[in-house]
Amino acid sequence: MKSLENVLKEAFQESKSVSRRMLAAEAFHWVCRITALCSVLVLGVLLYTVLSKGLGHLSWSFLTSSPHPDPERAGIWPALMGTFWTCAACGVLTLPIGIGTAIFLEELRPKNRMMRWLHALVQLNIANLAGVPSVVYGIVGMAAFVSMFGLMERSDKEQQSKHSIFEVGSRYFDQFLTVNDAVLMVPVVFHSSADTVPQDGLAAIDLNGNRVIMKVIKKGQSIPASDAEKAVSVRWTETPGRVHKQTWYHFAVPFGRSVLAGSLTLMLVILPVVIISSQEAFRSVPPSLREAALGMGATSWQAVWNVTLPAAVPGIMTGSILAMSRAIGEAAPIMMISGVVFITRAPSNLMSVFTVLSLQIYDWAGRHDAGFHAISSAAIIVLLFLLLFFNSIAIVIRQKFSLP
Amino acid sequence: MNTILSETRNSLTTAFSSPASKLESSSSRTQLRIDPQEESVKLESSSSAVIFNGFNAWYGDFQALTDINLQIPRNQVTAFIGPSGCGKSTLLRWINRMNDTVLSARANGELLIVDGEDSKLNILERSIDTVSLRRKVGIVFQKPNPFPKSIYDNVAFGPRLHFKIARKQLDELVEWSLRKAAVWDEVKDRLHKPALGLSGGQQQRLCIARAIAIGPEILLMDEPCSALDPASTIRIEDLIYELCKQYTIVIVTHNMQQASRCSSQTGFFFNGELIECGATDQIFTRPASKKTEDYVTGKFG
Repeated sequence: MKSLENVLKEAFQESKSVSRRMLAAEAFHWVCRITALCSVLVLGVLLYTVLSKGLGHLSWSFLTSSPHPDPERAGIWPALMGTFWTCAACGVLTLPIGIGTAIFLEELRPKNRMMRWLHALVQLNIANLAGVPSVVYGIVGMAAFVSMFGLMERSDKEQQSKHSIFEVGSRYFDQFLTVNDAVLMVPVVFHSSADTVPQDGLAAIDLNGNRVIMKVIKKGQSIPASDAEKAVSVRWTETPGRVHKQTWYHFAVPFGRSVLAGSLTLMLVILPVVIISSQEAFRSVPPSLREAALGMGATSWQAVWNVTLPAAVPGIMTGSILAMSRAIGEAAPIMMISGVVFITRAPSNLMSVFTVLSLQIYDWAGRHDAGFHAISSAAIIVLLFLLLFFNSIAIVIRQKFSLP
Repeated sequence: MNTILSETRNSLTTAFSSPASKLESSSSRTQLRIDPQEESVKLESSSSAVIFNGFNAWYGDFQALTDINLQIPRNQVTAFIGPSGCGKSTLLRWINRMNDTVLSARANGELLIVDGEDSKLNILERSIDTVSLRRKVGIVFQKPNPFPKSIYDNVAFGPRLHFKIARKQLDELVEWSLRKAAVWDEVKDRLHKPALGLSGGQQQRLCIARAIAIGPEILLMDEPCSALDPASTIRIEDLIYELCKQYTIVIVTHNMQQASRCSSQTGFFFNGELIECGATDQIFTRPASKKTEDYVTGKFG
């Protein structure tokens, strides 16, 4: 029977085991290096293919022109603007709700039983919602925001069409063709109202925006001779076409396939992430600060507003910006809302139809023409640049606002 | 019953807010209630400021304090001593309801705050307004916890919460509080620099200045020197001695010498019970209970 001391001595003298351990350590280092290299390599290959294909197509006119059937003349302006619009609206909608929820969950600990139950329910749900695939949110957004479950529509039995129950910031016109092929527009009160019948003395607007009075040429009457009269004369058989002019504050319920519906859907996607990261930011504020404020007779609102919220801002902003950069890249939920559509104009208000960069890339990459694949790569470069830009803002904020 | 309660509460709330209204109305510094010149007036009274009657406190099912009966005299320093976990900090934190932040904490019995005109209010009532209560009963914590703001903003924080106050008066109030907390000379040239740049002792005095800037009547101190070096400790103790001329001070401490140096009344706690309470020199020289004697002579704890 060896004594423990001797066993240890022998073990230490066995230099072979030491060298074997060193070897294992060395091998482990190499495994780590290779795995790290793999991920970098994948990124490198991706960047190389994208850059080599797309860089040549990147130009100012590519950024500022609209999609076109010819890939050489196509651009990403509507998609770029759509991305900005949806992300801006999404940020404005998400931040207050996300931070408010985080404050409720972290700072206002309710004592009353009912509220505590609600508190636990919200907490549980947010943890679960963070894992839901974004395409599911797309379907939810379709039902909830685009059509609002069909509850918010007025259907028109005669025309078999559906339209908004509530609308501001938009005007409807009935367009008539005059005898010399000019256009006269007669304002209509509602989208749903019946077509205007040509009448003498109707107030109308011509294409230059001048107010004019309509004149109707009835059956058997002759066409007036002067050009001025021709420009306001409409044949009695003429049927109008309905046109729709929107102001920048145009708003309608239900939202339809609009920027607002898209933003709300993206909000659903990133809200759990924003809430969880804001909660984390509030949790990292030292409790002593909270106690100091409450101990001086601050109400819970004053303590949050003056002390904990300012201290949590860096964490909240970092988390939110990273969530926003996720929203920029999302294609699936937006596809549910807007569909892959050919849109040639940038959104002009929250109710505009829209497309986003990721969707434009998806559209072009799926075509057969190799020219489209190249401009799809160019669009990917723009998207990557945007993501990089957002992430670097997050880093700057973290560096600048973090406590000394 | 309810009306009586609300009446008492109203009278107390007005009493609470009276310094504020005086602050607002006063145009010159001599009219401030918390002016040093008025110190001598308050020295005379020696009635109780806080009274515990059959006070019990729990954390969940754990009873932290059992049947506490205690009177805390006005304008004196009362020290709570006892081994860790004996409930002395819990008792202190109940005086301004800081334990409200702890979900499982509850208490029953009577915890009366005595107002100037002998009107008493049981602050364990559900309906109590903790905001005015905490204005009247300030607290200084174990670890210095200045806000990550400037020194000036730290002291001005409380007044800005509670009073509408002109900029010039606020300047005066900040200076007065910092002087009172014996830290003015060290910070007067750097009022708008971050408070976190101060040393630990200076930070703790800043926290005291912050607490007295809202004109409390009672000042609770939860081991205010335990995170400080001996030199800073001496300065804080001198400060406590100075402040008790104007404020009722309750201090929790683990340091026997500190209790004997700066308090006039001492309470010894053990396992959630108040074993003994009396004049400090009596507790330290002729304790009535064997446990107290063992503790103050260092046999346990």
